[in-house]
Amino acid sequence: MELKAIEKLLNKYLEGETSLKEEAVLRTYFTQESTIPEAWIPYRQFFGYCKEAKKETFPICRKKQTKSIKSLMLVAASIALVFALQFSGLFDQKATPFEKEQAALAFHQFQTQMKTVSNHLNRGAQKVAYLDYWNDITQKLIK
Amino acid sequence: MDERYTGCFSDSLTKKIEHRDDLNWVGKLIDELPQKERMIIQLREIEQYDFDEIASILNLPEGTIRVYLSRIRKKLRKQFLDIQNHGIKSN
Repeated sequence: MELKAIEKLLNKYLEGETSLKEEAVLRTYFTQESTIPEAWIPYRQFFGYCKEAKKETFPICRKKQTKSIKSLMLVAASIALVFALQFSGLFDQKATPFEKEQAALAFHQFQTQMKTVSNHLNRGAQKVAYLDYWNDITQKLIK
Repeated sequence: MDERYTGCFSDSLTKKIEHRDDLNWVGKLIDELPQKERMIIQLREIEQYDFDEIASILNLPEGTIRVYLSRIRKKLRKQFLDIQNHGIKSN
């Protein structure tokens, strides 16, 4: 293909006046010709991109499909999780007396610890209340 | 000519990577276009629809599509040349 003819087509192309056939000529020229004028390199990149992009067919449909498969897998996984939890619950019921005793002991320890913590918390609250009381008095004295 | 472009489709791995890189930034430039312009480019350059088909899809007159297309092609060409000349993509 003569360079002049291509140049003419390119000018028409930039004006948006080329037909699909003429654009196909340009596309084949830029994607198949190994040596082209340097000024035309951007066209090669652009047509190359369009050629690659055309290979991707119906990307929206494909995305939707993968999405539905993903959601199905999520549902399946959650069901499996529920079953697994139930089963682990059954195993817990079959715990030996020793384990039960230990669990009770741990619970008792936890309870006493929490009680101590809450008592201390209350003590702190009382101190803060006392501070508030002193604040009030100093405010009154200043006034 | 810049030697990286002389054999764009050769089997050499470096050139393949460079070619892939070129495609990536062309795609990026197209993605950055406003939605209407991107759709016109997609329909004409990639899907290769006729002007009357694009006009009916986008509900615009055929002349408007041609004007749009000419403007987008010139705009993209300018951006390509800018990148080629500076070697830096403006973000």
